[in-house]
Amino acid sequence: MAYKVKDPEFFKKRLKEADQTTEEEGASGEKEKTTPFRAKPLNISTAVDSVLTDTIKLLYEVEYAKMAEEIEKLRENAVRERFTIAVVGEFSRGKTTFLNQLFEREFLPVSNLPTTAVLTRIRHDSDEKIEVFDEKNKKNQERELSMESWEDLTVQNFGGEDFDGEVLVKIHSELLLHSNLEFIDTPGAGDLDETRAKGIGDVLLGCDGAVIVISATSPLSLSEKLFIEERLIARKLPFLLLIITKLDMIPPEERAGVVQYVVNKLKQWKLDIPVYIPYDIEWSETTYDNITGMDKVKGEFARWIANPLRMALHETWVMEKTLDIVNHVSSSLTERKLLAEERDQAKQEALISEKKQKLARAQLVWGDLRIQMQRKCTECCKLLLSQADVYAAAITERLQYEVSHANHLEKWWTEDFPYRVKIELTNMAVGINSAALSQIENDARWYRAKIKQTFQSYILYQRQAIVDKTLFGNFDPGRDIEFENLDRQRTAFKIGSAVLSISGCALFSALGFLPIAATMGVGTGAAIFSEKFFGRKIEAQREELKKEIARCVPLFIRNSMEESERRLEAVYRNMIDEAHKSEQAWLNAQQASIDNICIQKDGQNAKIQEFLAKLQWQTDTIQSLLIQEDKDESESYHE
Amino acid sequence: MVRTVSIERIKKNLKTNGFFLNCKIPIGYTAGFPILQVRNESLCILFPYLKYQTTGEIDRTLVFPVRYGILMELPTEKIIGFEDYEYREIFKNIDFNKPVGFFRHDAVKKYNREQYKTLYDELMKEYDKVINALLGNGNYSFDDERRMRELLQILIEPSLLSVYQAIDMDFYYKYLSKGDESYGI
Ligand SMILES: Nc1nc2c(ncn2[C@@H]2O[C@H](COP(=O)(O)OP(=O)(O)OP(=O)(O)O)[C@@H](O)[C@H]2O)c(=O)[nH]1
Ligand SMILES: [Mg+2]
Repeated sequence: MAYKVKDPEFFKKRLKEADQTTEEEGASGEKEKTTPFRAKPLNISTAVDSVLTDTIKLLYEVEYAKMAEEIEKLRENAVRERFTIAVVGEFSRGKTTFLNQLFEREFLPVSNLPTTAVLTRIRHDSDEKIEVFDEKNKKNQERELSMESWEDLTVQNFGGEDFDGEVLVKIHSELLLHSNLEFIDTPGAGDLDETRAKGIGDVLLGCDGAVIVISATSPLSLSEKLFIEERLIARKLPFLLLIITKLDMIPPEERAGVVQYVVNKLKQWKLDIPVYIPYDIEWSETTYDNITGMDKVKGEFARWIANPLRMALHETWVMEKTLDIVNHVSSSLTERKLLAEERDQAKQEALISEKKQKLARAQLVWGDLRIQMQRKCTECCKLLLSQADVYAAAITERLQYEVSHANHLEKWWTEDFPYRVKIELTNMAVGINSAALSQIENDARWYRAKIKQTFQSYILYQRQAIVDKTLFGNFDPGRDIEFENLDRQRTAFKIGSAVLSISGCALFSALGFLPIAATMGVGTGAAIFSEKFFGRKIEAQREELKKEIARCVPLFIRNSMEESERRLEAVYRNMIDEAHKSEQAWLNAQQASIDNICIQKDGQNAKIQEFLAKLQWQTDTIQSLLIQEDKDESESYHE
Repeated sequence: MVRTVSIERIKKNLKTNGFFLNCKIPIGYTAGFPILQVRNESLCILFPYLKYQTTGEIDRTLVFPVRYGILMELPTEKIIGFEDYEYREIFKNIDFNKPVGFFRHDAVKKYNREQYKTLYDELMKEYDKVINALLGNGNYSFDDERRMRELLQILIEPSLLSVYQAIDMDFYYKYLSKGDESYGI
């Protein structure tokens, strides 16, 4: 044969890692001999990776290609899951400046007025550009990566209008490429604009870590403390660091003092957050050399990514799913074996047709379960709404009581009232959240039990993400396909949220009461204080305010409930979708065993037996690794 | 010197090839999108032959199962195999006289004749690219591969997919399987 083909394995390789290989290496490059389509496993250990690889190979051998691909996909997702870091803080603290410095280029707009107006996600891509997404997560524009492109996307040009969308900045960055990191620049939060702050709260839920930016010129205000506590600590965001900017703006001899002040304050507030100074500045002493410089900050990021707990979560997740699939295949193979052993042709056919019928029936049962689960979702929503009504009445009553005893009505209304509402709503959030949590847990348990009982398969919900990162974005079931990719990556099979759920607050934050309650625009109109109002007697004024309370408290609550309902639905939908995936796997396995029996050959039985043994071994390996993980995990809990 | 391979030319040559004529593929059968495979380190191309039957209605032209396969080595264009799938065991339950679908299928309905042709030609170019690259003549990038996959998935009749899968798993999973969507940004 004169013409040897360049790459004999070419058609066996699947398209996967387009961005890892350059064009020249393309399809026929010699360099690719060693599994060129695999991403470097950043999030899982090599031990787990090799188990997965073996399992995939084995399943291809047994001709369960679909299942093998499932596992490949799982692996891919675990490996490629991005680590998202949000940069947060009040306005003009230098968040955007920090990002520009981190990437060593001026690609995001900076000014001494409130600037950043939209959530800005920064990802690696060799094809640099800015993509603008509207509030429905629909991509509506692509722009060049240049300063002009930002013109209508900064605060100055928004004219008070809210833009609920998001901007995705694709830049070429080795840092991002090699670490799977992604950053989010946020608009200045704090007292600036409550609706904007609400958006940030939501985004934080989808993040793995956050950089808190404070400025040496006004270090750690009380609102910053509240921000850290309510939005970061309460969410158990696992990875936090704090940077102090603008130290260059204060005299060198005062710098150490400021840092000391910040460190002490954090200690006093019992906030265990490492502090860094990102830019090299002049010190009058050397105390803080070890926390000064961008490389120190990057070092901290690197530690976050390599955190064993995070890796453990990824591994557990991917292995549990894999085990699930392997179990499906095992049972299907066993069935095949039984069928093949049936020598009598007629009997065999009868068995097959019986199985087909069963399968058709099973599909109906799956569908029915789905419907029941949807019903449970509706019930859960109803329950929460009725609870909210009770709260609304109670809160209104309490506040009305307070106003009837207040002396400075205007002061009470403009200062105390917003604060009191925040407190009340926060309390309500906690109460309703825990009610929701137990309801959801019940339903999830019911669902799992039902499925398990009916299909005797392993559907594991324990550590599986009930929460989905998509919950944090604007949720739109009819999402545009264009956004699919972005979204799939972000969702990435919800590992990030497993981080949340392991810290025991997944649902708590998923329902989003806290952020909404705490950041809602409670500064209601001062318009009520008209001349007419002051013309009245104090009692009449009180009555007026009471009416106003009765009007707006239920309104606040209804607003925040709408949001919560949406999320609650998403949580249920997510469970249903997860089960749907299992259903597909189950059906595929069943179908495969029917299909394969048709091409049963002699001598296959021995082979099946052999495969079954191998699969068993594989199952044992995975299980032992899982047990190991469990142990590791519980150990790190006790730290 | 290496001659550049072109699918269009191969197809044209095939029509006058003695071996091919002897296979006596009935009139009415045409070649579908070819499958590429490597056999003992040689690059081969397999043309699946199938029948279309017009019904007079737009978009209701009947599509029948792939019935024959012509296998050819590249770049020599030597025919090294002919198969009538009616005799292959896994196809034993297939009724080759029963249509499996319609032309045009949903994915291509939105294109007019010209647009369809443009996509078709682009796909042929991708075929040529991958063939030539595998023969050591030129490049075939990941973008090419992704595009080829995309085009195939648009153009190929969904009703034929299972036959493609049965004939060649590797080609199927590399280019045709929709299940595998995990490549992304
Ligand atoms: N001297 C000095 N100026 C800084 C430093 N960091 C930021 N600035 C300046 O502070 C101003 C605000 O910086 P930005 O990066 O836009 O702040 P931001 O936090 O992104 O602000 P918003 O987007 O409005 O929330 C700009 O004029 C920056 O040049 C620093 O470390 N030293
Ligand atoms: Mg900014």
